[in-house]
Amino acid sequence: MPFVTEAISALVDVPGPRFTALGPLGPDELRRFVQAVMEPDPVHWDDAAGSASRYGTIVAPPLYVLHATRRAPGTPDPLDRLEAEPDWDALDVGAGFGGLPPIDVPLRRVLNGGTEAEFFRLPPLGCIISAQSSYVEIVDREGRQGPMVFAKIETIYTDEDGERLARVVNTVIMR
Amino acid sequence: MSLAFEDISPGDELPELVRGPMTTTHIMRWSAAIENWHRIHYDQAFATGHDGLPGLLVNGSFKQHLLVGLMRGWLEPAGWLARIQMSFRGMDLVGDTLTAWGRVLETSESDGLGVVVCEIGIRNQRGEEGTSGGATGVLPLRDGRPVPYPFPGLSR
Repeated sequence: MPFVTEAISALVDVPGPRFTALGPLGPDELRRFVQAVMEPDPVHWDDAAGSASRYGTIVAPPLYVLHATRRAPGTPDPLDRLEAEPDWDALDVGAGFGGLPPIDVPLRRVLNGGTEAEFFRLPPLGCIISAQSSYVEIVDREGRQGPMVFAKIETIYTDEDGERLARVVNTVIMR
Repeated sequence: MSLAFEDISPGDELPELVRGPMTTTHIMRWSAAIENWHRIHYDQAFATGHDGLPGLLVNGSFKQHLLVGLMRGWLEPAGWLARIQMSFRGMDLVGDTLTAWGRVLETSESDGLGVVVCEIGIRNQRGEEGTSGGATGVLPLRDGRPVPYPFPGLSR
């Protein structure tokens, strides 16, 4: 029995809300990030290396964009939920699939089916990163363990001038 | 030394990128840096007791960056990582050492630039290949034009 109805198919290619980083990319935020990911390229922290590079300045690694939009100060703390639900896994889905409407199917498990990315430029210090997602495909599939729905979510990351930084497609499997 | 397209051939293996052993501290540092509070990455009792996992998990997001780092370390400064794709088929646990590897599958020339298609993956010290995928890089030809930046994207 197919789960992908006409109403679900109508979600494809409808852009979700645009999310923007709380502020320009700063050196301390970038320092924490590159240290945590153990990135060895000084183009991510050293002025001289950045200036001598094709970028002409310090830049973030390509996939930094995935983590650029954060919860604003003063907004409700999602960890408050642990008080009422101590067994909650704290997987903060927050805006869900890029703020897109949920795919309403009676399948409970949601799995990460993989990631594809294309890179166009790296965000320099001072860059204000935005992200906007849309479903690009929602299809029924039949798996060994029963019916599944595959959804591909494309997110375009841009800078403050609207120039593309990266395009990322995540495949979500519901079963 | 800057890599040029003529330096590579199908079958070439990329220099491996090794991270680990991945301690709880490494995983917590990464989770905090990206503000990912999913308890399977730092709460041992939750990961094993509640979720029934064999241990704390290395974040998939960390492994994504590791594969990007593998490709960039090989291609740059002259080349550009144009595309990458990966999927997670298995878990890597706290204490594991991750080795990112790659191999050149195909090479071609397009519009005065070299295009290199690689298979890539991550294996742990048990030989388990929990992450696999592919990547496409662009390199200048020797004495050719530089790879443009910003990169306009590969033609499909």
